[in-house]
Amino acid sequence: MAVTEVWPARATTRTSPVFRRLAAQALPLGVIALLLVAIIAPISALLLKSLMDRNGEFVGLANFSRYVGEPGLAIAILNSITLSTIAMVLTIGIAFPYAYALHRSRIPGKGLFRIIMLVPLLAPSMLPAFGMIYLFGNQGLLKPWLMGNSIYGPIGIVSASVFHALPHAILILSAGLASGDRRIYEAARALKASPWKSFASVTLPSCQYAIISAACVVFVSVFTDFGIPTVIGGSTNVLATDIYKQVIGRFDFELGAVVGVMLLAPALVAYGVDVMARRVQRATYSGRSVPVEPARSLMRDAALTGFVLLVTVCILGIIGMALFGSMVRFWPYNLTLGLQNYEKAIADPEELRTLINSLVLAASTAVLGTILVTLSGWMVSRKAFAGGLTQALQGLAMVPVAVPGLVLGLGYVFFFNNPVNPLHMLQGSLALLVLCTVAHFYTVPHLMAVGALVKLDREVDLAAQALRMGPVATARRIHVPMLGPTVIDIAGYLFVNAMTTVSALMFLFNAQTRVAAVAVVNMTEGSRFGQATALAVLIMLICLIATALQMSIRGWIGRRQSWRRRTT
Amino acid sequence: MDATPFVSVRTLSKRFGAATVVDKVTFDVAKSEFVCVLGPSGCGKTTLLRLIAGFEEADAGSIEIAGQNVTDLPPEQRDFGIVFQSYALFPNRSVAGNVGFGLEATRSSSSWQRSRVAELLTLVGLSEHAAKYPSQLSGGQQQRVALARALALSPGLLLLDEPLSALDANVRARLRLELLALQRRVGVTALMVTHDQQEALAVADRVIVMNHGRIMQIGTPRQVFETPVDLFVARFMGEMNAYPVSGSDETTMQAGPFRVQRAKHRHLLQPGAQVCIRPSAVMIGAEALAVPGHVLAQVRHMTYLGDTVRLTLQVAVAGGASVDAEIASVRLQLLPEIGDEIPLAFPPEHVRILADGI
Repeated sequence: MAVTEVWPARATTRTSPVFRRLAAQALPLGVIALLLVAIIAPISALLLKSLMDRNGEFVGLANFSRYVGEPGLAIAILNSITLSTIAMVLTIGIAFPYAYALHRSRIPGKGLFRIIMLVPLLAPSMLPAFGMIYLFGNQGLLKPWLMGNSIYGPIGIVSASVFHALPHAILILSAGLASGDRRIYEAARALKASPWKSFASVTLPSCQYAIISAACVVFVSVFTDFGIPTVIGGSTNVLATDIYKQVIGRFDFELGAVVGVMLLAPALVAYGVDVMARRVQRATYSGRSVPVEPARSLMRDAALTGFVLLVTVCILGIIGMALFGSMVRFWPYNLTLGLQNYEKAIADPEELRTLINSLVLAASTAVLGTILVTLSGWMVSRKAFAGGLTQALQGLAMVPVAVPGLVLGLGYVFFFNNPVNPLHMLQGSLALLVLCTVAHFYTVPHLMAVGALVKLDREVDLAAQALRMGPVATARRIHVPMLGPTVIDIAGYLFVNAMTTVSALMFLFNAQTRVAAVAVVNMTEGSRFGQATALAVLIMLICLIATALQMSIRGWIGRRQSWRRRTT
Repeated sequence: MDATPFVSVRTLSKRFGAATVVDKVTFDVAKSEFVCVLGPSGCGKTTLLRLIAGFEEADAGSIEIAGQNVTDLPPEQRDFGIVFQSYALFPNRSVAGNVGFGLEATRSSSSWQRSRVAELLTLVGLSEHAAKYPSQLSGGQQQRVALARALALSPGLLLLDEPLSALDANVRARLRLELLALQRRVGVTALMVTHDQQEALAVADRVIVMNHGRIMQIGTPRQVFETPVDLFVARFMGEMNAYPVSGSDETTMQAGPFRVQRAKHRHLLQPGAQVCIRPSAVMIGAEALAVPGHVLAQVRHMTYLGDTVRLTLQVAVAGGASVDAEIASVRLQLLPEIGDEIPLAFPPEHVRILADGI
């Protein structure tokens, strides 16, 4: 009985259960309220606006029928659907073999290829369009390659979109290919299946849902992207540029709302398909699987090496071309290089301000967003609150991924420009831009936070509670260290996206709060091409630095948290 | 064990939606007693444990721990330590950090905390692993850490939720003996939930058998194994041959081809009654011939298991019943062969008349 000595008694502070429960729910209720204002209210405002006339009277579907009568509308819809579909097919066609090479072959230099394909994520979507224009534009170096066709229009939109969407598709397909189970391939070999047969009957079915998922993501991103068709679309009209024309060009907010609804609808459908595909994928391929070790195959590896090299050369070529174009003195007559466009970016106070605004926006989005997302991810994953609150929070956090930026931005205009709204004074402010950007990119980092914390068994919290440790103390001692590197990744994700995004912000800035990515679009409208490209390159460089910083901080945390290393 | 119970549970009930998961459960646990709650998965045993811990709120009934009614208290105000099947160790803390976690919230000196952690680690035999992290330990070591952590605050009650189920068979057998020795040494009252009847029989002072949220039987391991209250408990504790009673007279009972003496069981005979005998109690061969009511049966299957031989026998009469028998190998000079006809008998002292539970 040596161990059971008298325990120093602790005074139990007994608070009334009612008060304790209220206090415990203030936090989730606060976050829910904020997300309602930042996500649901603006989208509702947009939906309502599409059903009202200029004076706020309910007119049913009158705006929609007015829009149907617009000349060129059918073409815009058709263009949006056709171009998104073509870009989707091409992107998957390139992304699948690329991801396959990274995961199921023995090609050399996988690490390098994995990094290069991620570079387009760090640039605004306009950057590849600039690269294309320098290569194939009216005075492009390789214009003859187009055999008389113009890059301004469908060809340019599709190729720049493929470039921009490629990393997303490769990442999703990689996840699908990485979850393959070696034992199934061994079973196929034992059944005397040829490599082709086992590819067709094991590999393809096992990642069909990843393919569907990637296709949906690519389709929506092309369908709703604003930057590329603005820069390289020429006279080709698509829905995403149409919404801008209606709102900024003609101040027809009602028709703008209608186009917003038409952008939202296919995004919602694609999102629904994606959710279902992921659910089936999880149900079919859960559990522990043995990673696939690709067998040696010279033919396959040689072919895939060639393919991957070609793709990375294109990626680097297009970025390099944009870089080159931004430094040329006078395209195409004086090809000597200089930094005049970059000097302008620093010397011109207006342009410099856009860069500073971008940095402030990105940093604030990273800080505010990381705090919010960590809180909501913690609340959802640890189930510390009533089930209804947890579900509401999770549901809200999942909305933004299905809402195109243009739609969210326009919703912000309708909701916050309304003089009745007490938050009206935020209009045009950087604070509103931050709120909108946090809302726009909320879902992915939220899921990252949830993912990092659900790995921790729920019983760990119960064990802490049984040891009389309060929820805050447990969060500080256990959950925060658990989140460590993920928090850095979340901040990096938010920073890079806030730096490069255009769509949601197009409607929200004023002269004082214009950000660099928006300025890039505005400059192309004014044909200041070299300057626009230089600014886009600067955005990419800032993102590169931020990502390098992110990786080194994460590495440092990883080295400090020696408990993450498995030794058994 | 003194007379006043340390844990006292009275008509405790818990519903999830329409399903009553714990149904008017009443039992006591004496101080320093080791009680196992045993039942198939879904029988409500884990919910019962979580109710006692305070992780679930009871719909009706009461729970007393050490004379204090804790039914409405949150977990942190109840006096218990808990060990989970998943170990639930803090992955970012060393072994010593895990064990000392609960001490940090107390106002005790850090030197005292350190010596307490050292003492606990010695107790579970992990002193040399104090600086390691959970991911560097084997499952059995992790569970010992969880045990030391649960005992750190010197709780009066130790709750164990399937603590050994995630371990390999031989580690499990060794660790359950360690667990029992530790509980005896510390003198803590222990309540363990398990679905493994061997584990319950091996460590418990008393076993509570549950099914469908209700307590079926409470008793010592010997009581629940040898005198189960019904066929459910009997079958849950081990294999059992059972034959519905088809007729009876003053002295005997007929169940299929078997005739057994009834004297001892007269008061138990009720509709649905079955004549039951464990395979290990079935007698075969020459010694069976001495037992009244023996019958001839044909060997259908034979499995040699080393220590024992398992036989499936078919009684050689019309509508004959199948009998499982388990015979110690040392008692067989010759292994029977498939198709052999051998005598078989139910020794009356091992026959139980049981109702068909649920």
